[in-house]
Amino acid sequence: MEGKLKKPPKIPTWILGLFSNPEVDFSIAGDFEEEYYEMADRKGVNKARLWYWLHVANSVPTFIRDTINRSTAMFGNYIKIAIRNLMKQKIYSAINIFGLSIGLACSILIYLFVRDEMKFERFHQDVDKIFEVYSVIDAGAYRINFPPQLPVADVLQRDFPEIISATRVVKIITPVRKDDRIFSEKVIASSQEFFDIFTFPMAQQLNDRPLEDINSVIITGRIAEKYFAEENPLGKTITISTENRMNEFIISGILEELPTNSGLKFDLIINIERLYGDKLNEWKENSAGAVIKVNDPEGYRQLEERISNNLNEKYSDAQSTYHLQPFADFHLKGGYSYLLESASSSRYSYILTGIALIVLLIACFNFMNLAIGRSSIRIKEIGMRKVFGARRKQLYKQFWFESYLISFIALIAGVVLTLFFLPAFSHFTQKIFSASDLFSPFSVVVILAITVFSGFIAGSYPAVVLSGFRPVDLFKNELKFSNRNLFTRSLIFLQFFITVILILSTVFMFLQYRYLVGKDLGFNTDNMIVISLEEIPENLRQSSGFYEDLSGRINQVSNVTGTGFSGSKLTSSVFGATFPKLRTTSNQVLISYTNVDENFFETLGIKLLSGRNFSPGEQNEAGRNVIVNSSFIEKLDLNNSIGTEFSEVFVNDQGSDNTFTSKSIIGVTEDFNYHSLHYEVYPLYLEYAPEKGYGYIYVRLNGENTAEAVSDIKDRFMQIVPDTPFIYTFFDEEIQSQYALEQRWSSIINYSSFFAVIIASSGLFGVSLMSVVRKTREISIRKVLGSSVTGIIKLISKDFIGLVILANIAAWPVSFFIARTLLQNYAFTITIDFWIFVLTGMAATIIAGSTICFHAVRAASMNPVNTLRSE
Amino acid sequence: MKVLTIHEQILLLAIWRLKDNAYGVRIRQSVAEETDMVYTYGTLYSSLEQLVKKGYVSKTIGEATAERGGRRKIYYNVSKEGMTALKEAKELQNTLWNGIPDMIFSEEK
Repeated sequence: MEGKLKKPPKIPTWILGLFSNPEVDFSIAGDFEEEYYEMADRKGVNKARLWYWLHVANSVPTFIRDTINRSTAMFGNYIKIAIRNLMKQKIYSAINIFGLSIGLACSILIYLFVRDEMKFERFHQDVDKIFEVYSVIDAGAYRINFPPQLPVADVLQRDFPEIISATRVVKIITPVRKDDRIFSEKVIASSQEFFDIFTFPMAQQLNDRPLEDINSVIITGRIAEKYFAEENPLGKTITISTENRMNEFIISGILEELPTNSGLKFDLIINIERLYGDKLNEWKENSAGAVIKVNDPEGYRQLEERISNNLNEKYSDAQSTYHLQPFADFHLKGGYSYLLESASSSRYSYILTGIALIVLLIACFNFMNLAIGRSSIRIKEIGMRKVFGARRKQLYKQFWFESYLISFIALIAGVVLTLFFLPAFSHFTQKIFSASDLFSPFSVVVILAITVFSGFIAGSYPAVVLSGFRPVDLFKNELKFSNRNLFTRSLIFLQFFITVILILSTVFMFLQYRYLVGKDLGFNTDNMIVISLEEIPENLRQSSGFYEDLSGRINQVSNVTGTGFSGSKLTSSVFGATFPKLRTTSNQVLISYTNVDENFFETLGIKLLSGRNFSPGEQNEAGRNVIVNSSFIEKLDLNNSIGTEFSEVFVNDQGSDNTFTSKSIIGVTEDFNYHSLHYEVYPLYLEYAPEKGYGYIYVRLNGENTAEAVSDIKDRFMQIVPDTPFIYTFFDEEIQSQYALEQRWSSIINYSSFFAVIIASSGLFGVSLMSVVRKTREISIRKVLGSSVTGIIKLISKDFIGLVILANIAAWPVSFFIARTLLQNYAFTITIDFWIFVLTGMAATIIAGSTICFHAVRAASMNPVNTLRSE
Repeated sequence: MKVLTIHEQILLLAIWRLKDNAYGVRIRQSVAEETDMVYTYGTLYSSLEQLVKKGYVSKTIGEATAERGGRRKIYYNVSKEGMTALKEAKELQNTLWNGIPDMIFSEEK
């Protein structure tokens, strides 16, 4: 055979290697090659190549059949060995399965959460074609987004053929009444096109176009149940307050239950013509959301520009730029939306996924560590297998098989855990999850993928490293797998590093949350209810003496110790923010204002630092006398505060100044947190202007018979305003609810670090147990030679404790950075004290130490006679 | 009693005949020459491994040779059990055919 002869074709050779029996594959390939050369000699290369190809093709079916036969036989063997190993090492198997099942349960729950987030608004057909129109007012110093003027939707539909459908949508919260049931409900005013754009299927309807009629109303199933109970509401009437009048509407349709992952929240839909009538063609007010459906969603940027140009050219009143917001993007990507409420952020999904991966990884590390620890036992098995001709590939398979088996057992436990936690998880994510979400085909695939992934990661170290040793070395016992093994140590280090970061995040979040809800806000929220007056019809509120009448009646209730009014609510984000310049200073300052009555300060317990309170019936022209907070004095550098006069200057769109009536400061209060603690206390002035009307009344109770007092107040309230729902909240609860997000995240992090601690400690428990078992003889000999119990405990624990302490210290800078980032969201924060790090570190070390000591003490108190006798 | 199949007999006899040169290529050739049955290497090795498993054949791994791209050969050898099985098969054959004249075939024609 000359070496120049053409080699056999590569592809069939490769196929051959793929399918042939690994025990004889080299010989088969050799046979093929030998015969190929022979044939090439006799009949030429081309014939030989053809023969080679055909022969491989003919052989493959047999190869495949053989492979299947072989692997089912091996499979049985793998299962047998794997189960034997599991049973032989019950403690380690339990630790592995326990950790992995918690890791898997966390991953599954978080997968459900992320999937739900991704599916927001996705239930609408062609949701990618839906856009919301909004306008931007750019006044140099600030940019504000508004819903566009009322006619915009109509004009767009008329002028742009590529817009398939358009509608305007107005959201109001207004009293809805049926007989004696009266509540505030979320009402949407729109047109029949609403249903062309959005997919809200109707359970029952009177006709094909149920929103066409001006007096029609479409209700959700929730409203049907709430107001009509057993009755069928279709065709019945219901009273809705629109434009301060109670009007009757005929129910023309009932919607199926709204999907929970819809950001568009409403209870009733009425016809917008009924709400606005002739005003629909006026350009004055920026007051209606506009939604369009286009036929080419890709080109929406160009459409956006043309819309702006078109509106500004044709309609002289439309002087702003217009933009399109992709409807389905708002929930995760943000932007501006008038319609949608539940803006979330994809950041949360990322953080949660990260946490799930971390918990899963800690569990996988356990598996690796325990597998490495046991390897000194298994090493003989591996050696024997190798001597008997096991190939490396087969050992891979066996190790991975074992780790897959454990993963799948853990999966079963994990699914059970998930089902157990599902209700609690639904509760604190405020989503609705059911077991059926878990078993949808796609979820099953994802969950299996996570399981296989963790099995793969967990089995990788033992499979790759242990199978690679030469049998001779294995028997000579030259390989040392002790706790000194660098890999094991780095895994333990990593586990505790991550765990300590989680614990520290938990601690900081908890401390900050406790600080937020416990901080003295500058006013007293105990035993106080806040009643909303915003739903009361305008005509009633403007009648003279209305507020005096109301507060007088409420004050008559026994147990009520005081009342106070304010225009906008303390702690609400819209506590009168404006952007004026003040005549007295040149700098532009963000200022808040509202109007209050003379009892406001006393009822809420806000202290006046200097000057005087308003007097009843304060003689002043339209709120000239004002009381300001200390921040006002500071930020505006007013020295001689009392009696100082200032006037607000608004910078309007055209850039010119609008000056308002001047004000005179009559008093200064302490700073109180009229916004949530995310914000600093901005300069604030409070004016006395009863004619502007009040939005809220604060009622202080003495704390006795609260329920009775509230129902008494409600009765008196209903006497004056019979058509208005009585909406009240307990002030302290309301303050707390500002931090619901913090509470939710704090508990999520809390749970995950709890699990991380448990998994990491159980891993350490296993590793230290192995270390003790391995050192049994050493310990016994040391004891015989006079070593003390404490000396032995020290011997066993010093390595691990050192690692844990090191992990702690390494985790501190990272945690410090995380804590600082977290706290940047707040104007008022706890300080990041060093002792928090030290205390947490000590706690983690004690937890780790006690798991190790459990074994160490047991080992140290053994009688050396028993262990040494067996030698 | 296990009886060898015809396939097994053919292979075992081919291996025996080839003595020290019984490896894949030669076995396949020998079988093709003697019986006109052409095995693919797939079937050949599948059957050989079956024989190894049953203990009728033992294998030895040979030295690497240049004409095979440096790959080693596996030589097969009929084991004691293999010989016994062949003997039993032959005896069974003889017993079965004993007393049956050859003319039964010519009658059919």
